[in-house]
Amino acid sequence: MRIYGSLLFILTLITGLLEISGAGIVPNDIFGGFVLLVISATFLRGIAGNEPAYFYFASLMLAVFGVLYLLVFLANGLDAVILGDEWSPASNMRPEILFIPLALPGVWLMNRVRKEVGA
Amino acid sequence: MDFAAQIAMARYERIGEILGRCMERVEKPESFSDMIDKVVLDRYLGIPVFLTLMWAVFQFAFSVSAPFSDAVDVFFSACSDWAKNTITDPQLASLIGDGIFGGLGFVLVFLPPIAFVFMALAVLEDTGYLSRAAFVMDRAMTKVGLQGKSFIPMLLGFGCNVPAIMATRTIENEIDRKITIMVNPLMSCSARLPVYILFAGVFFEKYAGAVITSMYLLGILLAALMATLFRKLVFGGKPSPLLLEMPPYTVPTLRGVFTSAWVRTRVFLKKAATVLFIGAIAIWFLSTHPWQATEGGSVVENSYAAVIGHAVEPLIRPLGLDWTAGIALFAGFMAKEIVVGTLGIVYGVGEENVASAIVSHFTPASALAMMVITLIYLPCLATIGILRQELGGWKWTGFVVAYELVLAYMVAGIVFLGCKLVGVA
Repeated sequence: MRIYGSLLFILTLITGLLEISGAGIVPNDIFGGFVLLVISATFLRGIAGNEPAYFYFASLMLAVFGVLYLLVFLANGLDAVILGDEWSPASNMRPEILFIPLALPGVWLMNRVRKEVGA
Repeated sequence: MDFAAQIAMARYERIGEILGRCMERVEKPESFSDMIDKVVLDRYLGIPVFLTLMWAVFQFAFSVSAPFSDAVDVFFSACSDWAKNTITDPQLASLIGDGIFGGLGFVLVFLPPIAFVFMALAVLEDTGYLSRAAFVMDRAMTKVGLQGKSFIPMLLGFGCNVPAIMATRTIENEIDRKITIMVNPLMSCSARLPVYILFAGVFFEKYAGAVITSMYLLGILLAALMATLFRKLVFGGKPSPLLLEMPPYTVPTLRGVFTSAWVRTRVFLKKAATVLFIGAIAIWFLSTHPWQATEGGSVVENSYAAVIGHAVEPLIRPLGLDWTAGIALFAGFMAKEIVVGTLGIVYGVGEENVASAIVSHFTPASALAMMVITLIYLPCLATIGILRQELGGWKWTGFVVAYELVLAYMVAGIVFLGCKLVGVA
């Protein structure tokens, strides 16, 4: 879990910094970048303190934002259809959407713990 | 600490005493809620996590709902065009096309973001996070006379003040809720952004981003200032202490979320839509009549709205604004989105060419004054409808309208004169 958490920490940190700086292939989005940095800091806190709760919660946030950006992606497409504008899936793609599968192990573990220890 | 808080403290002390005598303490195993609370109430991560979740609410409410709002807009625009092309009597066609269908479209376009805000808030509420969020933000908000639960409506105000004001229903204390509602229109909603973009882009080309950001910061500062003043001078007392039982975290159900969102959204549909609809018809009448003089609503300069524009001109002249700005600001009372469009109609250039036309009517100083007035003056008609509904009548709604007008005039005056003093024409 610590190794996997470390990988996700590095991934979200780099992507977050790229989003804020606007450099590279990811879209320039200051707030989106800030979100990734917070997720990255949550992973880091879990790694440093060896606290699985931080890993679970950071994975949940990664999944939530992935799904959210997927909804925004679909909404933009629908909006383009309604308004008759041009829309390209590639230019609307966000790295957070691609991170959804990476967040699933943490979310699955979290759900298992919830069922075991109770709310 | 107020009387209610003292009673609550005494009650908890007494409960503690009784439990101490009749219970044996055993080590409680860490529950799932304890684990999550460790993260969301973390000393360093608590506030950043809260801000990111609020950003998610914001995105969900205003980005994901956008196609639904556009669908409503497209539908009523088509209905409006149909009415104007089918009905032979031009005045009746204008009433049905622009007044009724235009008015309905204007009202219902707010429905998707409102419903989405309530869905997102219902998810946060049902999971049990909302009480933690209030706890996390309480200290910062108490400093400006508000409380933790005020933060969410304030943040939502950046999107649209209508759902933001309705979101204050999560605040139980009446005075805290009233203050939050009363300062909410100062949060710069997205409808004001086109005005900032236009004026900042034309007059402050290089520094447009900084000027636009300063408008948002000015709104936040004024909201904090007014909340402090209302607390000290109007309502008195202190923000109610947050005494929260943290509910255990649960997985929200679709049915629960939709029911909660529907109950709250229905209130908007039932009450605000009536006020809004009548208001939209009134604005239509003012901008298209006298019918002959406005040549069927196409020459706005001869309308009653223009009379109002000329009437307010002496008031706004000291701020470097002329009657055309008066009309635009008057139209902005219906919805801030139409300020730019109205300027286009008045200058006879259309919305897309309005940038080149405003140069001859505004200076950098008066452009700043116009942006400040747009930020602070009258809330839009939709917001006034909701203010009346949520403040329980016209007394406090009138107070909000009055203080915002005075504040707008004062701040715009200070900005305009300040610009003159530092040599910005």
